[in-house]
Amino acid sequence: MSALRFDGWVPFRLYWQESEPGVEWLYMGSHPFGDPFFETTIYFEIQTPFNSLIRFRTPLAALAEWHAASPGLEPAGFIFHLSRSGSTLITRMLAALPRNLVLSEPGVLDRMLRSHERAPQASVEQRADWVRWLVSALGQPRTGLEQCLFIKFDPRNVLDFPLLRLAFPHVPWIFVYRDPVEVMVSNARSSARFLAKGMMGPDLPGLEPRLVEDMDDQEYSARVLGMVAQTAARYIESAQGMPVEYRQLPAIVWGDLARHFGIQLTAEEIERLQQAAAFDAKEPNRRFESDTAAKNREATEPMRRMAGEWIAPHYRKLEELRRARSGGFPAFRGWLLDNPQLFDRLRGLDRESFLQTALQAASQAGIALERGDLESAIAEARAELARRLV
Amino acid sequence: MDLTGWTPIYSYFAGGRLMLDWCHTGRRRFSEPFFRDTMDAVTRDFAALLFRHQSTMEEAAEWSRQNPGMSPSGFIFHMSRCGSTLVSQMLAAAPANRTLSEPTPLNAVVRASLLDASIPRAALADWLRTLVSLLGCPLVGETHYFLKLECWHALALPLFVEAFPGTPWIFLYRNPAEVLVSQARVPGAWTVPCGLEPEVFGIRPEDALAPRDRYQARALAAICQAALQYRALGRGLLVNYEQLPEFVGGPLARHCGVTFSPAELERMASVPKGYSKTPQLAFSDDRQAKREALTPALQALVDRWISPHFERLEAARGRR
Repeated sequence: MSALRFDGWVPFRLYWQESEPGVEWLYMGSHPFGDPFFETTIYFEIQTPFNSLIRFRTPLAALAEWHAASPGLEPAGFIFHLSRSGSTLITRMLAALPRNLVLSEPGVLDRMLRSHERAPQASVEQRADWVRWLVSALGQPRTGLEQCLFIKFDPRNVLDFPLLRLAFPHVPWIFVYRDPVEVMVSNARSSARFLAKGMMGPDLPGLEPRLVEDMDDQEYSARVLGMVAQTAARYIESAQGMPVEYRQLPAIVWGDLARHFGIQLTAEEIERLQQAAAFDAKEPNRRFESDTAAKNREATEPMRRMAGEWIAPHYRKLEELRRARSGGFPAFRGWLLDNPQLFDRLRGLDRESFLQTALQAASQAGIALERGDLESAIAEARAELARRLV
Repeated sequence: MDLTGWTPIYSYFAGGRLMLDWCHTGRRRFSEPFFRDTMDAVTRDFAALLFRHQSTMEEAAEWSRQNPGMSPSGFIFHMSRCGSTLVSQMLAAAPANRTLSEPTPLNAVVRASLLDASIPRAALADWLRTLVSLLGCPLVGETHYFLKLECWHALALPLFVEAFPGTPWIFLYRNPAEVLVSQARVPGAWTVPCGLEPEVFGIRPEDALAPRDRYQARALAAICQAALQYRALGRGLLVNYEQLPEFVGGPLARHCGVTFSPAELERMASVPKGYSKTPQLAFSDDRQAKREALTPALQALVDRWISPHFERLEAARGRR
């Protein structure tokens, strides 16, 4: 059997015949996914003379064959997020290394993860195969230098986590989130697509379509964001995800996050990540700076109320998980004992300089450490030694 | 982990395993009157305080095999409040002498040897050797190594001799009335509740309750009795407080096979005037003052519990 070869072709859209999915392809050759979002690249690629003339469709069986013939890169990491939380900064940084292939919210994958809406009769195993085949076709090396595949998903896909997990049981994943009020403000300025009513599909837990229709937009946004955060927290607990808070960016990318994704970075690569971090993620010609203060000024009273009611409890849970997983003094201590140079730098300092130097070092290492963690560690260590040294 | 510059500062049992806690001491000399004083000073630094390291005894033993410390020149056992700190401070006055005074890491092992019969003697002796070796990693210029132990370690003299058969040791004691007066004034940590198990001294817990000076007298008696009983083990020497301070530069040096230079002897001789463990315990000839502070009740405790051992120690010392 001679399988079709799809070198240089990218599946960019699903189509449905009855409840049988097929894929639509466009030709990109060795062009990279160079834009902050997958869909932006597709938007331009689809207008090339070749792609305007030729539309190429295959049933899903062709994807299966292509998967068998050319499996592409194994995913090295998945990125989920709450929207407006810094996930694009992460993908831009990862994409700055030529050895990484980064797919940022490919719509075609979002639709495939939600295939139950169109093909409810298909078994989950079947649908997991579909996801694997599609990821394999999307994860073909483009420049030939790529070794690691990272995929960032649409915020709503966290609800589809079980299917993705079935398809890729061992891929490390993260969930990126941010202070609820700041996320609300950002979405109020211009709303993320999944927050438009109707985008979440009919399976919005706890929300009857009838209620949604009359619901105030901000309440609806807050409820959906809360649900995304809640779902993420649940899977982090059960499936070893790593919570990443906006404030940890960008340093966590070359610290804990790289370790979580199992990447060893050279000094030169870390420098490239740092350069990429200096620019605004979605508008790469503007420098990245934290806009926390500006966002808080814009927050209206109803926004704060809705954020507090629907998102904040889950945000707190995520923060709790984050600190339990990789934060606090024990994590910092373990890391520091492996870094004798830093240990030397911390010696001989007065209390205030010690605290500041340590907090700065922890932040650079992507370790969630607060002043209070250090202060109570000092008090505990003193009490412990007083007890032990007799 | 590279443990160069790290010192074990205490040991403890966790889940049935002996563990060590290490602190970075760098090139700091142990020159304070007590090991814990040096550790207090070291851990005033936040980095040294917070970033300590824990290891199992096996890991520590492996490290010690690769990085062996000095063999001890001598052990100093004593009955407390009898000039032992003067001896260790005099030794420490010579930079060539690495002198550790009551190093806390030994305590868990010595306690276990006295309280837990289930641990094989050979393991205890191994642990003791490893700890002494770890603590004996010399700084530049240190060529001799002395350890002054806790008073209650005298009850474990056989373990020390088993672990270090050829190492000279001394047992220092003093007129028991003077010792008991001092303990009654400022009780040692090992004489107070939660300090040390009374079983270490062979005293039943119910006999340890009160009054404290009676317990102190019995514990001191047990220490003296142990020294008497074990005096023939290995290379021991009994020393009375009255022999200080000249004893250090003379008989002690000879007993330990060490020769001190005139400059070293001079530095040692300058210690007594300047030294104080704590201001209220300043070394001076306080025999008169202590005898005056002796109440009839304390005298009765001395007579009943300690004097018989003291007299036999004196007799044994005379025979040597």
